[in-house]
Amino acid sequence: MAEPNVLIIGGGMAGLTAALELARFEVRSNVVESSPFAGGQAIGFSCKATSACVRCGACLAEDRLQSAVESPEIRILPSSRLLELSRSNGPFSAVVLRSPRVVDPDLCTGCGRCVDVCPEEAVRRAPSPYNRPPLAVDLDRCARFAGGDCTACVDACPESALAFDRGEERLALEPHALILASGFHVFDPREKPYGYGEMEDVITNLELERMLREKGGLVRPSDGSPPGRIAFIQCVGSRDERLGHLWCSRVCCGSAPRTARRLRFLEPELDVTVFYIDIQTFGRDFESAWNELRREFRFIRAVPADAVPTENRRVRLSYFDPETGSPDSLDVDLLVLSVGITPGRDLAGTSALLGLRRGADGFVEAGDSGNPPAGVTAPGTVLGPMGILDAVKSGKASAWRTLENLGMV
Amino acid sequence: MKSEGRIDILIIGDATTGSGVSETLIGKGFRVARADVEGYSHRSRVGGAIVVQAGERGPEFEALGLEPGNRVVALSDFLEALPDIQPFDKSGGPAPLVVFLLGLAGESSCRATRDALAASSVLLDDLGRRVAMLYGNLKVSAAGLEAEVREARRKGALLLRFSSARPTFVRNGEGRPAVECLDEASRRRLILHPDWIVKDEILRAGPGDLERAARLGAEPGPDGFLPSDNVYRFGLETNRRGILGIIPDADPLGRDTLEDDLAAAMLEMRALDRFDSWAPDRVAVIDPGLCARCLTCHRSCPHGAVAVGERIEIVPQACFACGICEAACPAKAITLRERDPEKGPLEAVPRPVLLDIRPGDLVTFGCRRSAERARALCGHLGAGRPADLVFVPVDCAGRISREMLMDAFLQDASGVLVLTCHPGNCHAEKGNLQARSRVGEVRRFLEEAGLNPERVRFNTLAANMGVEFGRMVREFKAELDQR
Repeated sequence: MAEPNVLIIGGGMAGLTAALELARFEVRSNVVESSPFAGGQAIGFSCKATSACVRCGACLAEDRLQSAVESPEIRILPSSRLLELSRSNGPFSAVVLRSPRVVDPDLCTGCGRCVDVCPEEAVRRAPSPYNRPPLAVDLDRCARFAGGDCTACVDACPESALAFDRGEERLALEPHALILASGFHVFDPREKPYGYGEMEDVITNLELERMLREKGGLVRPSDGSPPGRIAFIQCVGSRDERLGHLWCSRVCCGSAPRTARRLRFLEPELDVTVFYIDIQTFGRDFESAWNELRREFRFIRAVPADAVPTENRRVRLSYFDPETGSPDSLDVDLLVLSVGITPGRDLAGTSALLGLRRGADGFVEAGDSGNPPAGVTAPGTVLGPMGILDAVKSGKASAWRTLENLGMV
Repeated sequence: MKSEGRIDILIIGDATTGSGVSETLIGKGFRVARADVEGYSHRSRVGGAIVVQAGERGPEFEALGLEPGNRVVALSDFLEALPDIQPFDKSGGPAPLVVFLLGLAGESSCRATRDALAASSVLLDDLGRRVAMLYGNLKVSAAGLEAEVREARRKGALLLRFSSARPTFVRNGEGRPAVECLDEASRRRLILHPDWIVKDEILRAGPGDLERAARLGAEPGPDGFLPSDNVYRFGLETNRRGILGIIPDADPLGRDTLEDDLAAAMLEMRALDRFDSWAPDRVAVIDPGLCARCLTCHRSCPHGAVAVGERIEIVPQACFACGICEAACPAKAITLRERDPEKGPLEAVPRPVLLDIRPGDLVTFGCRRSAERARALCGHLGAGRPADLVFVPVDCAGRISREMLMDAFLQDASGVLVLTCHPGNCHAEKGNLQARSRVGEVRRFLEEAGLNPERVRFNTLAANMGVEFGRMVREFKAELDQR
């Protein structure tokens, strides 16, 4: 087989790791990424270190992305999706549809003048400097794609990197193997009665990650003031029979305490309460860490009934206190919802295209006979919730199985 | 790319039987040998070693004040006894109760939850027993477990949750323990009279696991098991390249990870097989003419790559080219060299040099993995940094020597900032700590020379700390400008 190449759907931790491992074996890959920026959810995350590393693995996102972008064996195709797939005896035939590329990745320097001039706030800055290009136009917001004739960004660009005459592209590929690593969908907490979308100071854990990454500290979105008391609600959209989400999202029991410690490290007086059901594993030092954490923060084993605004613009949580056996309430300045990991929105379609079976929960079933079909592997959160380090390891395992499929090991 | 007559992998460990690890590897075309730890040598041409760890699983009854025996048993013992339990004749009075204790002392596991649920199902459906599960943190993160717990409740299992209080156990007249507890949901005090009390087992590293890791020169994680807990080891590798650790029987995150662990391990081993044509492209080399055999390099190498024999040599397979030994060697006998795949070590890798320093500049030495990326992010976010910052990237902060720092001052830098990964995050394990010591030495030197020691500073950060990078540089610059 001459020059084997692999098509990877999804440029997050699992997909990029698979691509990097294949590159070690001189196997080329095309990474189809649906968003304008590769790196997955993790590329928007922040470091949780206190005086030492706490093993959250968020720094690996930068590592994976930079290495993949710089690898000659890897081509990342942002704003793209798999449109068609067929297979006869030889390699697969795939058609990838790429959205119009307004920003030329070779010319854009990321100066951000287009961001400043866009009247629709449609130009987005990539989460990482290693994204290529480092800026992208959100076609859903851009006036040009709604039939307008605005050229503000094109006119402002000193590098002539922006153009509207580059149409949609169809790329015909002939991969010898496929890897489905399209990741997960973040649960929308508007389905829960915690005032998300109504109260500005109710945010998700992912928004908190981005805030720490981009601002370096915690403030209330409503007025920019530092909060004195915050709460986390765990399992929002997970372990929830009414939603039909009969699974644990696995990562939040690790991320909430780590984040709380980071916040306390930045602001020693910060008051933190965590509402939880059961604490799952969060690290290899679980027992000692769990005992310490219960001294550092208030852990309340309850699922709050709701969150409502108070007169002085705080967030009031109502819950049943298991220690006293009576209803209680807690007013906080900021509420963080640890939102669940759910199957990707396009996973049903893509997995059908690839011939992958899904379980009752909607995630891809791993390892059964005949699933996945020959030449196809599926690593990372398409299999179910997992954290960064597990997704990386899953991507490595997938690369091995792909090399086996290619007869290379 | 099959192996050519050399042993690929040594399997070391006491969980090799039953785990199927070596069978899997042999089935995939690897040449495998089993060895005790003494059979492993850093210098052998072995592709690597997979350490298969069993750990020790114990019920640790004493943590709950329970005495074993008399139908107080460990979960795995109960599973063995289960086939011999006869169905209960319902005409003979109320059905006997089996109590499972999960996550009430020590960290439970998804495996324990799954086993207890499977046993409950048999007890409830086929054996006419009643079941109660008393749990602290119930581990349900493995696929399907949450649904299974709800199914058990529907079938009639009593689930009692304990947050801070714990059940107590008292012996009744027949010597069988009764369970006294407060039900959190109903606030009622309950007394249960179980026929069996079954406790989950806690997995811990045993003395054998610890000793093996120590002999191999590989650092275990905080739980005592290999791999290292450093995120750059990806939950599989260790500080010694080619030594991988797996625990077939563990479910650290509630997943049956053995299959993925093995696939990832085989990938790593095959990649190392291709080592000579691949990586690393740099390696440390000792000049035997300059070497004084002081063994500083041996002690300072975080990767166990310095072999002590008739000559002191660096095992290229294990060298990560961090440069810690180069910076530490008192005789200046060690240099990092580019490595030609055909001919071995070639040209010396130049030490980072300072270009275009103007008097008064702030010079920052930064690790490529953390500081250089954070600097790029800082610029990307527009988080601001002074224009007169001279940034010198190094592959690892461990390569920063006293001379490099002093050189900056000799060129009239106003200050020197050393930025490394956080403790525990260094790709070379302790390159960051080495850099911190060097900074300490330079501080003392400045002080002795009558200069302000505050002109050199050490900070740690991560690749995603762009804002913090800007802040650290600005704050230091402002302090320097005040003087």
